[in-house]
Amino acid sequence: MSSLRLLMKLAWRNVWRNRRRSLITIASVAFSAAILVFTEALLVGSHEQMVLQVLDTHGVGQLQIHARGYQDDPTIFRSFVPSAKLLRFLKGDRELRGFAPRVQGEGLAEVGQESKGVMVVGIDPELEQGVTPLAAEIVTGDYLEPNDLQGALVGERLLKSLKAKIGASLALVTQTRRGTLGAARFQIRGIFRTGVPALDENLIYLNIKSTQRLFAFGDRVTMLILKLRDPTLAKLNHLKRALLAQVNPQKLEVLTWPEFMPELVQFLRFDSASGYVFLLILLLVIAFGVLNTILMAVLERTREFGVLLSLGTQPRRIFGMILLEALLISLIGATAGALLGSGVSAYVVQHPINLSGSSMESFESWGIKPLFYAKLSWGIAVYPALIVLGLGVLIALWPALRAARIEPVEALHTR
Amino acid sequence: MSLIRTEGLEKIYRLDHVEVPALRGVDLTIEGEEFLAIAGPSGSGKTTLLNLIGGLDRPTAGQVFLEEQEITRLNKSRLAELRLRKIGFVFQAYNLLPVLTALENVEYVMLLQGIAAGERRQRALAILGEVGLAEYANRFPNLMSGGQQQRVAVARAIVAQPKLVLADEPTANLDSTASSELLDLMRQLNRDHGVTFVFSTHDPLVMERAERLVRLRDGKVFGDE
Repeated sequence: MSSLRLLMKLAWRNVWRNRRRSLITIASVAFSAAILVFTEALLVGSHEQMVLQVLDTHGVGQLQIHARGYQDDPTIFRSFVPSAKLLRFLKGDRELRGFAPRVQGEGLAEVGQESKGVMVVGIDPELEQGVTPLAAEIVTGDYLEPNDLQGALVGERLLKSLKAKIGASLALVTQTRRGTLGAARFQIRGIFRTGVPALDENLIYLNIKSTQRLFAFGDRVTMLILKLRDPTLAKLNHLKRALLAQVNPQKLEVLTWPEFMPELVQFLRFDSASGYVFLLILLLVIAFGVLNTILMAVLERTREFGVLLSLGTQPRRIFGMILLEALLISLIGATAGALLGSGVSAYVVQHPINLSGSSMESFESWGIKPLFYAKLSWGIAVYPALIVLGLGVLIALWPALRAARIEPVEALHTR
Repeated sequence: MSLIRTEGLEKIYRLDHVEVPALRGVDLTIEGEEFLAIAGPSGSGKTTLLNLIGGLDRPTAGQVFLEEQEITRLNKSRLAELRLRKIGFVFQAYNLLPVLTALENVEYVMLLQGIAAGERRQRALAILGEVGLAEYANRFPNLMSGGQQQRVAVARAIVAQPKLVLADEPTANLDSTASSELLDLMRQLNRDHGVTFVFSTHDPLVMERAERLVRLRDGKVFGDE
């Protein structure tokens, strides 16, 4: 114990022998750790916000319940009747912000001479407001009234393709789930804009009851979409497990957003990867900084190691001392960096960075606001600092080994 | 039983493909409690001989026995252990650890030996008193004169109660007064503690003070008085 204390004392005083050099190294370690923490906070925070926004603008909820096989083969032939037990469970779940049924199928829309293939989505106008921002996305006209079985909401771009206007009569022709032809006439009540081109030129929202009639669904639905109060992946997976206990997994599938929107996961991975490449380069820079300091410290103290060895110090103890010096430098730097990085991140948590006006089209095409959010957690603050700490010690292995392998006679004759 | 015995000790350094013989067959026996000077001009092999006796270097040929144990074949770790238990070193350039105080420098070797803190401190303070530096215990080396630093170095060499102290030109950087005081101190420790002192020198004044004088020239013993 006391010998460890002496080792600590030696290492500590050695670190401060060349005060300026050690301070510069500590500052660079701290700065890098801070950037690492902040970048991670920004990446995680922005991705979480991005996901929530994308799920909102796409109106898909965060968790979906389908007939089994629908995810791989989304046709009207895969539908189900939600059991009373399931609906009771959903109504009673306090974690849920809302849930809504959907009936969805392809059809042909006609206004006057114009026609176009569309996706028909039947919604419960009241329940829908608990899960998607559709009501807020109406730019002209009105949102559907609960009992309006004739009304249709049309995407802004689709309206242009059909050369239609608000109040126009819209004919829809579909295939029913019995294979017969379904057709009905509706009136355009409102025009919506999600900002996502693919949605705005393809979607038509109707009352779910009219849609069930159009597709000969009876009481069947295509899916239930769910939205949580606190939509973390852990909560989503927890709810998924609870739901699987309520339904017959042979008949229904319960999917979280990474499962029903795998392309979003891919996009986030790609975005993270480019962030991590930047961080990797940063880590290499820190590594060389620490290596330089420790190597210099070892080289200029070669003679001292000769003295330590001639006094009977075991080479492994010299090895330990150098590692301890690197550990001290990295520990001080990483701690300071974690605090600094967390501080800046905490500020951005409160005040997201606004990047509107810059080249953010790729984000906007996903329906994402050009705002950068940060998220701070123990993991985000501590893991990057631990990586920097580990790297600092790892990088010192070579100089430490070098010091431990010095031949005492040669070392003693070094000037 | 002799303390040190060397047999046919040879050391050849290779510098840029040129072989430089430093020792060419040294046979030397040193008994316990001797106060011995190894003298010779620079390049005569004094330092090399001390390094080989102290297990800091390996001979090209020949053997070194410490209390009849051959030390030339021991590995690095065993040699370190041997130095820790049996040999103290004093260097020409003092070589105190700059980040430790005089007291801590003296304590260092005892700490490696695993001596308990209380005893360590007590012995370090006692030996610093013996070398006349009790009041300098908490000073760092850079705040002490050369003579004082060398006394601390002697205290460090002797405190762990080794059989042998090897001193390579210990007075080379000191003025005549400090040299004389250091030799008095070493002689006194030699008598009081029964420690064998072997020191190298090319200073005639220092040679005079030795009990036994071994002269080296061109890597060979050519006088033993």
